[in-house]
Amino acid sequence: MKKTDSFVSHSSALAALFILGNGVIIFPVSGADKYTFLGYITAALSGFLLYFILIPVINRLYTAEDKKIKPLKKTLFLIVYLITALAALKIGADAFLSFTEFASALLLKDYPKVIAVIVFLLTVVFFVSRRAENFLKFCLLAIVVTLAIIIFFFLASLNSFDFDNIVILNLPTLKGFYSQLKNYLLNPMLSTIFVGIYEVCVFKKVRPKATFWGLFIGYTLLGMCILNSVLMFGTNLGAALQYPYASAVSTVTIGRLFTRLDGFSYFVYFVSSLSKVAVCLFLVWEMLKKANKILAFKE
Amino acid sequence: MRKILSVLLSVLLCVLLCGCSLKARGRQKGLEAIVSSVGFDCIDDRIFMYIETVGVNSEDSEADRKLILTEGSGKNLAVAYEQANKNSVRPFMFSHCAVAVIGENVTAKRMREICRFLYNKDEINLSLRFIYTKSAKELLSCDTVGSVTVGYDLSDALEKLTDYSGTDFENRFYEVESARKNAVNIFSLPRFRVEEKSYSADGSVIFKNDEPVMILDSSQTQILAFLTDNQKKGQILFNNRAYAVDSVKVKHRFSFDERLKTSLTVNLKLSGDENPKQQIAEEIKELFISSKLKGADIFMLGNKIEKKERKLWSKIEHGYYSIYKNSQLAVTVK
Repeated sequence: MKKTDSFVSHSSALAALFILGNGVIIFPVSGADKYTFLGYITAALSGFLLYFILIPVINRLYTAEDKKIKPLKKTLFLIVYLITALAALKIGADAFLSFTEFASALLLKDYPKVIAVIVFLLTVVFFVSRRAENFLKFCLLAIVVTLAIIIFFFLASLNSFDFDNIVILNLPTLKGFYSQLKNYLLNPMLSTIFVGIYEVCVFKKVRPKATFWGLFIGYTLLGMCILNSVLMFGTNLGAALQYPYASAVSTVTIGRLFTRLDGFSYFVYFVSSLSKVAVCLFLVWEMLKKANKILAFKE
Repeated sequence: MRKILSVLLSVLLCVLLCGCSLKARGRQKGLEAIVSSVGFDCIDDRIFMYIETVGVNSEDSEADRKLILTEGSGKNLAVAYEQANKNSVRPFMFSHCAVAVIGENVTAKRMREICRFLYNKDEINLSLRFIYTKSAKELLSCDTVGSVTVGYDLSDALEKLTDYSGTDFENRFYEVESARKNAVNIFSLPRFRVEEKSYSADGSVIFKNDEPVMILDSSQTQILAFLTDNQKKGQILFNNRAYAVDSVKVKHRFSFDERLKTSLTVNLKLSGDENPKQQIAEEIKELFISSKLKGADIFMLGNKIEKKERKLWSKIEHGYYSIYKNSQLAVTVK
């Protein structure tokens, strides 16, 4: 994709879904305490800062003209590309495992786990093999529905919220605070950088304005999902539940007819995990291509 | 070929995403018995499980839908459930279970077993309501009133009770589990009594560390609800008379000098001529004395001190329960 001024809202949608990723499935994780939301807020703000601070570095590293690079730089770039590929693989694999665990436990519980793995893998490969425009269009459609679902269930749960669950009476110790912050360090904080790298690979440069709104929406939605579970169940129970957000959504009923609406949260789980895994797989492929290009170049 | 594959993949995804679990096995595929309520009771060292189901088959008419109470018993809940499963023609589906009835013979150990059992059931509805009664079987064998099952009737009855009286019972499964996971393991469940195959609400039961420690009548339940912020308006029953409550404000003041002293000021605006405020104050004092004997801080004074009086709390938090047992309460109802 060459046009740098098109697909702006689509990029935002992709960034938002990437941030939601598998975080919407797993957070709050086991061990979360009353400082968990403070940890999340800190991680979200740091993720924002990190992205904007690293824009020049990302532009420089991932748009380098291969043929003009000196041998030392070539080695450096090669290492950077391989590390990026490995990190993307790790983040993508985490998201992939989170979703397939969930799908085999709840959606395909009478079948072996391998079925969930194959179905999801095929879906991801299908999306990655399409042109980037198609994937971005899918993201835009998906974020609209995701936004509607998350906001609706947040508002519908307001009556059940106990705001005492996040009231901080004492400031945490540094150790206590870090133990909560570290839950959000790799995912979503550090993985924010991959949004920038994806943009460089697809649009040839980072798109700060589009990404700002994408990150803002993504972090806000993920924060709402975490709050939904924590305010409803408290941190102890919320962290002990296997799928906290789906559990919170399952308690919402509309009249006598519409109960067990957790199916809507499954949609959020699916599109956000799919987007994250597809982006990571795409990045792994692109980084390996770049590394191969550098290796193949003879001085 | 690509288009066909895309369509097939999309259809497959739609099927998976709409929550279809594609059951390949099962005793009668697609004909699960929907569990509307589940009851637990104990006799000697055996636990009994009663599962109220309604078999829903789209081909049946409304009248043909049968209400079944399946029973299972054993030395533990797993055995009891297995036996209930054997006694049922159809597999149970717990995702729409509305009520869990706890019989009065259920001990603290059994209560923990019940909560663990329900928690581990993947499809259990976290908003199912817990109810306490003398005999779970007796309550679940009552006649249905407004809906197809006793379980859904009980759930409706609780909602109506909340709408009418204003008391918010924090008896949903996730509320009970949240309370159980807190250091202060205190929660209350509404109590129902049965007379001639019909039931009615009859106050509440306070649980401490999963054990029922106090039984409150309807008036005491409402007074406690006011004091623990679970009721702001509605009405209060006193001496078999209902008084409309216009507003309620509760203020706490704490001091500690050898003993913890709590001064409770309740600003209660009631409609009508008669004014039972002095009697309400006496009732609060009686409740406080009973709770001290049981060592159950039912007014959640510890929580209030923790939030409002940090210095005091840091002084008393470690020995709080022995301090609570020796504490004093001064009540003013204005």
